[in-house]
Amino acid sequence: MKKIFSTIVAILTIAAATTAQTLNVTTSGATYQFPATQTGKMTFADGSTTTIMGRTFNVSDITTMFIDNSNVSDNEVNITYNGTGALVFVAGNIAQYVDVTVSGAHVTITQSDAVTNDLINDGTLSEITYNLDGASEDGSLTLGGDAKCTVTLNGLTLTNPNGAPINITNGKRIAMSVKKGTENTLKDGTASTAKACLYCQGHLELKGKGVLNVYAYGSKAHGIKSGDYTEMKNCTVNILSATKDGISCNEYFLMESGELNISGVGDDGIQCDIDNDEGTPIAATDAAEGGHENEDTGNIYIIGGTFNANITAAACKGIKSEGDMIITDGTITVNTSGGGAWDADNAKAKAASCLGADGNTTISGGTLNLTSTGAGGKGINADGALTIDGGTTTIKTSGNAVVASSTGTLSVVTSSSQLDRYDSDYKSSPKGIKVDGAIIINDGIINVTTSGAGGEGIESKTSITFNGGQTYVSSSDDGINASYNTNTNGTGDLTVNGGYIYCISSGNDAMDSNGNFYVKGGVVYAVGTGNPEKSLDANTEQGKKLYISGGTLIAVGDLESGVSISNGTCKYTSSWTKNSWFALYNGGTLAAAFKTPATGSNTGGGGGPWGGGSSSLKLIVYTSSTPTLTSGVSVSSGTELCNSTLNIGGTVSGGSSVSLSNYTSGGGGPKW
Amino acid sequence: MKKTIILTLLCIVSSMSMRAADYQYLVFTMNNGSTLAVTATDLTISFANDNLIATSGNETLATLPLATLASMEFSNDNGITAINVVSADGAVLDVNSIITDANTAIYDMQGRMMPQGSALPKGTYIVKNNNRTIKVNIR
Repeated sequence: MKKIFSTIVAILTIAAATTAQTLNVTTSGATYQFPATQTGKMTFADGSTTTIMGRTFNVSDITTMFIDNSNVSDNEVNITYNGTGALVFVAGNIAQYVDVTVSGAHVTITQSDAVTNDLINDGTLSEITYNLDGASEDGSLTLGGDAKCTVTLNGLTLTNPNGAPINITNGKRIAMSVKKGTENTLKDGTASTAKACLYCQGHLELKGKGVLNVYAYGSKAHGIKSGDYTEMKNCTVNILSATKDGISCNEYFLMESGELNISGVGDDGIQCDIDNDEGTPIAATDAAEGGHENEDTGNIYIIGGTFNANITAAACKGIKSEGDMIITDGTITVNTSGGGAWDADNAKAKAASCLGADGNTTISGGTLNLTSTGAGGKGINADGALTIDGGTTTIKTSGNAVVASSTGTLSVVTSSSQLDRYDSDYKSSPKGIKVDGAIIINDGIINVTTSGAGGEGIESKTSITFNGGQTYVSSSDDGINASYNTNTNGTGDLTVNGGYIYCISSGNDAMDSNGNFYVKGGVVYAVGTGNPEKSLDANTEQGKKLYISGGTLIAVGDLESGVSISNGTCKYTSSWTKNSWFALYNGGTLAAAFKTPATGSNTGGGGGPWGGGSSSLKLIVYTSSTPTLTSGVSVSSGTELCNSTLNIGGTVSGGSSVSLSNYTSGGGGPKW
Repeated sequence: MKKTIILTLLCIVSSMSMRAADYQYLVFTMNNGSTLAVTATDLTISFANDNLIATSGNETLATLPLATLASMEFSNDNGITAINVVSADGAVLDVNSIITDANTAIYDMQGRMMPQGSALPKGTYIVKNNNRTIKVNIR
């Protein structure tokens, strides 16, 4: 029954769509299609012109006029590329507003300035839609105008060897709809000097549920470039080659949904800049309602969808914002493999990063997988602050540090100790997270692994505060480092108010504060390299101090000398086994179960658990009451956190009690 | 369900019926107010030598000097009660004089030549006079 019904509807619909009587006026550029029901009186003047629905034609420009049963949709222009030519059909009701010229398969359309956003918004006129399909190896569309419009890609394969296949000089809002079920491909050629393969002077809104492939081979070509903001939802966009950025835009970039895949680019994956000449961020006038009206911030928003980028260019970013970067949802996978580069203008060594923000970075949701393998490569690099409120962020860096000579000649160093010889502008170390501003972690899951020389896990040049979340860091240099410099005027304080932190360093302090270090809450599990590095380090040389006044602490390796311990008890043992589960009790209540590092204190020789060594690194514990330890326990149920190094709320069985000694500042162990 | 289907079909049929049927004629109005209707079906219009040339298939329906044209309009009413034809030089010719011209041949829509000098009943005719061919409606 349903099938019969569908068939009847289809037949009737087809019948309805094919009965429109249409007067076609064909010129050298286009065929203007006037539904007979709309034409009214068509006038002639001076024996040389005819005016139909407001459009005046010179009869000398008319190739022919004919009447057929073409179906015409108001407000639409249809452009079909067919190899060396292009057919353009303009609906009669907008004929007076659309001028077309065609040369081969190069189509130039000018939308009259009489069409304005005001007239569209008040209903006087309707937005014009330009539908593109067909194929050409030597074609293009240049679209001018001064009012918002829609461009649909409905199965278009268009190559322009000498310019942009789509060049939209209309500076208003352009809705580009990639039609569902269609695959569309745009290519330019190496001879092109256009700014992009897909260029839009105004605001570009990518939508639809189809696929758009972009190959930008032009000498200056971004894959997609918009003069104003770019928004994207639903569609799949594949930037498969670009001489410069995959997507370059101004004002802001918003990814709402869909899939964006970027590879084969010579610069950043996505770059968003502030548009105004002063470079001053201008917030949206409706920002309080979550809108972006009149925004010019240089911000990048990712609130959904899937973003994948493989960036191989030196010192380039997967996503780069001149303003803030705000990630609330979506799946983001970025791999960078490019090495360092010398920035001659600023006399500075630069390196790649998966995310780079000149402003602040906020992550409140989504799944981020950020991998950087090149020299100096980073996961997140922000000039402003970093706030993490949610989501799962996994960062891996494996490159060594890159350094530069006084003349900017780059080289790679394989030992962290070599880096001290270089001024900060002449080196770039591979860090999981490097932020000039403050880092605040309120929630979320963060996993950071670094393995190269100078590979700090998380670094702020201002301060770091943990209020919640789960943070796992395994690093080759400092695991978590709060510092400061003359630019940031930060405190260099590191504060733990809450959350779960596991931090292990194979070559330096686990957690290092260049200011004061406060442990006030949460669960901190820190494993330092050992002599002379610390598990928890504060800047006592500058009169700063480590304060432990709350929470739960498990530390392998000594604490900073002069530590202040209050509101609880700190104990230690020098005898513990590697790769074993321990249960830490706080006055008889299980505080946490934890797994000791895979390399233990009594193995090997040299500098502790990572260097292998004869050192006897202490296992230090602190709880608000009296801590007790049971070793070799079995743990079931509960919640495993921080890459299964901690278990909270589990059931513990077996094991044997560990004898603990009181840990006091300067007396609990050697100070290096 | 059945009710929904019927309602939907009615809506579709209704929308179809709301579509205007094809116009039968394209009616040209001359600067002097006279009109000429040509069939709109399969009509093609071209311009040459300052004339508008209306054809249908291989048949030339009208050749009208552009300078004499005021407007054209789709219509279902041929609107012709008296037919004037404008010659190439702009002169207005009375249709009766053409019809009674010995060089004129008149055919009905079945292709039958009408007797010379006979009264034409209501209907549509093809009038051939010298090199001129026009379609006229008599009512």
